[in-house]
Amino acid sequence: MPQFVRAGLRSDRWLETDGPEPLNFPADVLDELRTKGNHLSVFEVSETVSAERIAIAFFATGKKEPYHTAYGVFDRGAVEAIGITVEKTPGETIDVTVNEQHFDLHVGTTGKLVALAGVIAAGNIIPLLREDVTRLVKDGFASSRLDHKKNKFLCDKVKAQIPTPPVAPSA
Amino acid sequence: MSATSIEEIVPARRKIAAGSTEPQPTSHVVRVLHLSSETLQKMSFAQPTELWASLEKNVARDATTGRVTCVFAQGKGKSWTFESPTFRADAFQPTGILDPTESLITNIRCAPSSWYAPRSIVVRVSGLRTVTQRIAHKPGLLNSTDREQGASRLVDAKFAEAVALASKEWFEDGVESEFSRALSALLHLYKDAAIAPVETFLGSPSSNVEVAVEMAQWLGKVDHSDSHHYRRTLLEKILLSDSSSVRLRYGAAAGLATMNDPSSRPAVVEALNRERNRRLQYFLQLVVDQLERTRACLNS
Repeated sequence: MPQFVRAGLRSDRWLETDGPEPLNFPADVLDELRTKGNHLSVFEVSETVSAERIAIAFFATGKKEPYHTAYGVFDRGAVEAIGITVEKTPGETIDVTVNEQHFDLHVGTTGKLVALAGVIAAGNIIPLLREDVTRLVKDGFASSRLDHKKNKFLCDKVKAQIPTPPVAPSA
Repeated sequence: MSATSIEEIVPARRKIAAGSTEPQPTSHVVRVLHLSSETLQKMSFAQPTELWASLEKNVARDATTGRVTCVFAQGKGKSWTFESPTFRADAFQPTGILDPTESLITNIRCAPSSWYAPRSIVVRVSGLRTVTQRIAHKPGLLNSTDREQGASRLVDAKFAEAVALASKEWFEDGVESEFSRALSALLHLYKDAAIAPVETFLGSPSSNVEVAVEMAQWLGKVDHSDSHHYRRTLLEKILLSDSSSVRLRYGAAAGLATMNDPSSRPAVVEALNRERNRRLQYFLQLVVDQLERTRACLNS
């Protein structure tokens, strides 16, 4: 079943969403789902792009230091079942492969936003400790999955070893 | 010396935290003020211990001078105010410098030129008479802003200001908040005294939980070896407290994970055994595993 990832979550805001109805979730949960133009950004998991890779790509885009983070993995079908339209659009992370998996959810109303929070909470909220984020970001830069030129600060912070591009043989 | 004069020196880069929340400059000019006796009546210093150490060091050689570094923050317009608490010099016998009865020194305002935004100022204490008694350092801060009337009042006021601003700030992981920077500045300036209001805030059930979580995470993240033990034990206390909310327990666990001190493992294991929230249980297990790996790595 296709799954979406909402990255950049703060674990503590979701701690009390395991059980209650979405309308009874702590209000701070909606802070995690900030829409823009009534749209919400998510990525779809694929055979080549794992949920963890998406979370790390999202984190590495714009963050200045490794730290704990979390991401939610939830069913695409459940999103569409609450009447939210899904549209494929280009992503803007520093991982071009992950960007190909980007979607905009046309949330539209606060009611659907709250329902979406319920869908996300019903999935898996996966925390990553800073130690793991550091390792994964470092690997991402070292393997060139993450473009170090787009976040040199973070790349230097995690002390990633950037592979030297091969030198073209002289004529 | 009869007048106040200023000389400028450019020292090697030194990490000094001012009361400001601005990012630390990569270089700064330090001004040395040669102060007259009259001016000294209005002086205050960042850390009494620094002044005492400086004066004790200098008194044997030259009882008339001392050198101490002060920390101050930029005020409104072009003025600066010393953020440091004041002190009382009990064993001084000078006249015309300090009030001989109370020996109080109050905050000074000075207005250097606008292009200059120093982060520290070196004050040459001059005009002291030769002392016949050893300068006694009284513990605590002694004067109108001392502990009886609230030397910690200054810290508390700065802390309250930071918390008020924090309620308007959006926190996100991987981005150092202005709030965290303000707390770090307080810690570097006032050392353990800056953690006392943090402890009070985190122990209050009416504190804003979002700010409390950010504060707990800051306790684990801040780079300050002198307060490591205090911060770690405070985080463990919060983690194991029945009155801590589930979110604050998470914040404490996250702080301990960042500190990555294996001696916290027993506290985190105990918290895990008590915890009923499924999501927090999972997180605590991650922290236990990490601390165990760290312990094994250090022992190998």
